[in-house]
Amino acid sequence: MYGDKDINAEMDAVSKLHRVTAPANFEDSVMRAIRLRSAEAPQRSYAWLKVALPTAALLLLAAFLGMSSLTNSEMPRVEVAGQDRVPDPLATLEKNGSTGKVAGIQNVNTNREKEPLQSNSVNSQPSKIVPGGGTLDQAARPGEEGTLPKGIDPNARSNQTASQAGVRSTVRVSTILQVLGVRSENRGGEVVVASVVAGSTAATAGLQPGDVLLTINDVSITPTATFPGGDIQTVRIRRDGQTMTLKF
Amino acid sequence: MPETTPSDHDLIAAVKGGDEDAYAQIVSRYKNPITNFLYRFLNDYEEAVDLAQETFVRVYFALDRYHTEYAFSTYIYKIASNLAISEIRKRKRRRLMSLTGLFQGEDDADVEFQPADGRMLADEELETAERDKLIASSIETLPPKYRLPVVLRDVEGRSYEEVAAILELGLGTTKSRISRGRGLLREKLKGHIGK
Repeated sequence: MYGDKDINAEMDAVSKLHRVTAPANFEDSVMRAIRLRSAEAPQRSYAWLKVALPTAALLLLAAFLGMSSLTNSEMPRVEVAGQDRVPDPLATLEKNGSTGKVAGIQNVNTNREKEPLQSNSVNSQPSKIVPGGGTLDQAARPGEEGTLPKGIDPNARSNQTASQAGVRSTVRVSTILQVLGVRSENRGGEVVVASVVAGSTAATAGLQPGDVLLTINDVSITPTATFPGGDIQTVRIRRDGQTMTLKF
Repeated sequence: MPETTPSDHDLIAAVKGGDEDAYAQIVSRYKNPITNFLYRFLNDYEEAVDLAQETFVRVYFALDRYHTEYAFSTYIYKIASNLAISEIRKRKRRRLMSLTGLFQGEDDADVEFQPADGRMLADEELETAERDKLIASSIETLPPKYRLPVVLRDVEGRSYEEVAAILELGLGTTKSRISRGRGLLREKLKGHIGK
């Protein structure tokens, strides 16, 4: 169908076009360019990045996870029914001086059934948010300060139990320690006193930086343990390899 | 005893064995056809020489991928064609970026078909030069899909089968494109050639 039948004067002229030639130094230029690129080639090899980049990413991830598990620096979380935010207990201690009591913890967790709840629908209505500077007792008694949303009777008694209202009956160890005036850290799974607030309950009881905390009221302490609540009476520690019991 | 010229495949085997001079022979053997092919495709001698050099450099570094069941000439024309097509695309992009020629320099002036004026030329050599220029301009205005097969077939004298292999097209498609390209070229040259 197609072939050279369509060759005519025009195409004949095309085929007879003047032919150009390469410049005289063409071969030298090509061979020089080849040698240049051969010399550059090893430097421009990025094959090692295929291994190095994923390895670096994995190492970074491992380091991040390791640091996260070592520091265990959680913010204190004392959950109160309808309470969205609670002031830092340690900051409160440092500001107001140590009260020498941690009864607030008990109030927070167990007195909810006795305390007048804010409304008949505890879970659905937000209560007053205690601003920074209050105490745990204050935090545990919403309705004593500030105002509530319109239509909510602060003295109305709930017919729900604490557990029905979703109140947790345990407190994290880190929270308890902060209330006592102790800053702790996780050292290989042990809770170690990093510092003690001067004049705090912990300082009065004789806790010192470097003490390894073993039990509180005979409840074993681990970085992630929770404490069932109640007054703190005894704390067992290990100091310089010796175990001793401090009374609060 | 008469000295025989080594084949392309012999030279390539020598290059793979580390003989740089063998590659210099390959370059020497193909430098003119490749330069001429690129020049007729791009209508720019400097660009053609640069791309021809780049073609030989790329071929050298890709020799491991070359299979000797194909003719070496087909392989080298294929690399040169790919580079030429890339160059055409670059030019197109540059033209688009120049905002319809608002900032276009003289070097980037759009290539349009300019028929020769009808004046008689005094010198035959000058006449030939003018005719070549006219044909080159006409070829340059062909769309690349027709320009490439026409240049390979009618300027470089490659066989249909080889053009098809270089362009990686079927034989029928190749012939069709050559025929269509010739038709377009004839239209442009009608009345100016063969008078």
